[in-house]
Amino acid sequence: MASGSDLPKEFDVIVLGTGMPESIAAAAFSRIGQSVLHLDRNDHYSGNWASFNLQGIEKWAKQHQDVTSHKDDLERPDIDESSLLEEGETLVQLPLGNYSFSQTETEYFVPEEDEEDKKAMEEKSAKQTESQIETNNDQVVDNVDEQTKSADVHQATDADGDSNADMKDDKVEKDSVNTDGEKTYEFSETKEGDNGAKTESSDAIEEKLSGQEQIDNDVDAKTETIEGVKDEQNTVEVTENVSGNFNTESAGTENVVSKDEDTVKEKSKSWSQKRMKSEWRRFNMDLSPKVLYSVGDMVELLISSDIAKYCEFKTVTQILTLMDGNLEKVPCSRADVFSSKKVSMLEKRMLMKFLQFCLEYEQKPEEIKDYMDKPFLEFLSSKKLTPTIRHYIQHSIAMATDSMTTSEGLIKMKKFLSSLGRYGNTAFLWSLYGSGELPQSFCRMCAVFGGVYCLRTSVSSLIMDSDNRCVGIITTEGSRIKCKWVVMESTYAPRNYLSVEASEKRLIARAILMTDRPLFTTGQKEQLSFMCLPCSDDGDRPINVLELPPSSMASPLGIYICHLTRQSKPGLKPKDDLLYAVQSLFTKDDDTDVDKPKLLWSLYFTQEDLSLVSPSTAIPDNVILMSGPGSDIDIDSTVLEAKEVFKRVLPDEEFLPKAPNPEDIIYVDDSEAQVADADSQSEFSKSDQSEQDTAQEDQSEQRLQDNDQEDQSDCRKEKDQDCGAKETVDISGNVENSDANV
Amino acid sequence: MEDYKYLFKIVLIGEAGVGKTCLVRRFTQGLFPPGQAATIGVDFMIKTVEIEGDKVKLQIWDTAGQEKFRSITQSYYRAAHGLILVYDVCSQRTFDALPQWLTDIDSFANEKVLSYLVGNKIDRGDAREIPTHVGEQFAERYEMKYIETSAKEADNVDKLFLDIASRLTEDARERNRLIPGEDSMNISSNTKSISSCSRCFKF
Repeated sequence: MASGSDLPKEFDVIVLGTGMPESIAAAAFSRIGQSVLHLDRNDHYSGNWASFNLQGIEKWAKQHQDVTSHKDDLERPDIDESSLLEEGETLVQLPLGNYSFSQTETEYFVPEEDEEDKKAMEEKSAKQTESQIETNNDQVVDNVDEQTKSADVHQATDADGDSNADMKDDKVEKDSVNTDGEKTYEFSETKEGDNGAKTESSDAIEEKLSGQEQIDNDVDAKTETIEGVKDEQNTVEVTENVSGNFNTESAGTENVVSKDEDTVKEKSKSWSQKRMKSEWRRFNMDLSPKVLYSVGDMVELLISSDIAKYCEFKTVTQILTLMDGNLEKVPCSRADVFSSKKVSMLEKRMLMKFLQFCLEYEQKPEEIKDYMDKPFLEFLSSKKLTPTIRHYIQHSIAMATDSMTTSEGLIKMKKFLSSLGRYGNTAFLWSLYGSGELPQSFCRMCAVFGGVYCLRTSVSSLIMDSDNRCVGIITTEGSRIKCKWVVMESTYAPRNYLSVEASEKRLIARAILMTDRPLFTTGQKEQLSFMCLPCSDDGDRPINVLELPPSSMASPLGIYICHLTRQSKPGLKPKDDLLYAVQSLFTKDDDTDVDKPKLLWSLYFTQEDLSLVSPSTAIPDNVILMSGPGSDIDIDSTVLEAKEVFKRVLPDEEFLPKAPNPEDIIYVDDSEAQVADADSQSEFSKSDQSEQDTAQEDQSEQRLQDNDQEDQSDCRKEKDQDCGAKETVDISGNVENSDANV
Repeated sequence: MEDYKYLFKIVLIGEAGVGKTCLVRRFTQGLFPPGQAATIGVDFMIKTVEIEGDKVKLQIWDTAGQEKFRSITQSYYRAAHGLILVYDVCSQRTFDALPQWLTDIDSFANEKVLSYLVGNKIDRGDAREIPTHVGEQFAERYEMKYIETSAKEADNVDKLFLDIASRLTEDARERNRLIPGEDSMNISSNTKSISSCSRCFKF
């Protein structure tokens, strides 16, 4: 691995922070040929917008437990930075830490280890002893040793992703190669044969099972191995797996039986900490969960730039609301309104009429002119709506706060309504694996066009010339890198670059909850739900609830992730501020209130709202600050921000034009490539743009489709009718069609 | 519309300079470009092969240089069917870095991804630092397939990709047989084009 000190010494633009707006801007610069260096002080992408697995978020929570001060307490490297300066240059020190999160608090509500876990383990070990006898003992034991060892190495790496652990890991690896390398080799032949046996036995399993059950089993088998590694006493489980490999087909059949039992158990079994931790990889939990409006700036940009090919989406399938203590699904589309049993015919007509009006309000200025600057709630009152209809509109569709004006309310209504039906029956999309994937998609685009990426790299100082222009940066490793522009997330900036008003803290209270079942579900379909929960203690600060099912890749099967977000104030504890939602929607006890989801785990934290950045006059002209995540539910504002920054730096260039489809790039032939200048940046020519477009239209249906898609193409048309909520949405292709839909 | 039965996403990882891009270009274009610069503007390369009568399209993704400072995006690993971890048999350093790459695979790749460990540059026989059996043992320990290649001499390059293609095809056929029309482990199978919404949800 090259270290950060091997970085090139000059770039057009240096971008600090891999959050959403910085990443969009970085991609835009790189796309049109600017040289971009993109740095992040974290060991992960997406900065304050990141998504973490269970281990990752627990580690993160520890780091941000009690950081409330803005003191620059990270140690500066021992480098004489002034020796790197040229004549007339001065230094501006940057803060090294990130203090935008605080008051983190994690808690499990499940036992460390389940009684059933223990029982299951005993059963297994009993079964184990039997099957072990059938196999060649020596081989098994040797193989177990080997597996355990390799698993240990894995474990060391898993437990801690930082470089120290990596180095340790490295060492362990080498040791094991050196010490038992020979031994391992002796057995390799035997193992080769066993692999065949393994395949056979797993074939047998697959034949006996079908559909989801089979997958469950696979998952189960995996889990066992991992658990076996974690607890020493569990080595028996590893042994079981190994002996499975060694056994002949008959043993494989026995396996099927035991696995079947496990599957049944799996479904009724409650979670334990051990079991949750063993599935740590399957969690993707967001620091700043954001949905996308189906007809919004982000979706349009993803399509127009073709960056959509890097990500996958699911539709938010239902909007929920709490009415008189009961959860209900809010009818928002035409079809929903018609089929809703909660509202009368009269109300249906009333709701439809009002929604229709909101879509066209701009053409009816006379109806609204007296209300535009008055509260939206006053306007709603004037419409003489029934309480139910008013509740739907105010809290679920407009998501209006008490102080919101009519003009703001109508803008929100219209945006919501025009996003309906593009991808599903709500206005929103959610990106699989979490919102943290989105900035990374833009980073990938930036890298594909030559952007240089370096995580775990902090910048200790900016270099100013005598005209107070920034001419470069100095990294904490002591590299001096020249640049024309610096774009940085505001937490990377020195305090005096931010104006005083902006430094008055606005806060966000956040909770990430794991539960054992969905909030509200009808039928078998997995729902991805959104709810705006008004709070009686402050009508301007509702709690937004986003519930993600396992199919959104947020959690393992059987666990649901709930994100709570609320604007907060200094002095408030997130746990208290969000208490109303937690008490109304969830339970911590096993037996009471069986309908409510039971909490398994919670994480509370406070986040600084960085969505409004106002730079002070002290900031150099060629240094640009970018906002961090705020309390908005969506991310369209980041697109506008990035566009503005791009325009400011390069007013005449196109913002993120569509990248050529890799399938349409025509490469020069062999002989030309051989004589081509080795240093030339590209050895291929792009095909004509218009040709590309035609080609893309042809292929759009096929792009990013999976192997099974071909077989499904017939049922696709049927799916059109019900707009199946289960499918992931691919927004990469079909620009034509989507426009037609708008 | 192009004619193929299966489409697989294969991603390459490994230290800078081990020959990832050369392997891809050798396979997809039959080229070996010595001392080539970074590939600008290319996300992935495509090659359609035939496996037992079926057309199989391979979409092979390269790292876009993000490996140089160990900064590969997690999303790069998502939804990959096959994964090729490459090291240079003439460079102990690139071999020593493998555990770090395994950490990434472990955290971000689909658990069921088909993984290959590839020792590249076997044409430089005299300079070899990692004996074949050491590579084999490593691969075996982490349940990966092992193969040694030379992108320069085109040794085993086709075999590598064709092996992957036929294993993935076999898996896909098997899954189709068992669970026709559904594959819940593979999220991308459920992707739906944006045009497919009926008007009834529209307002």
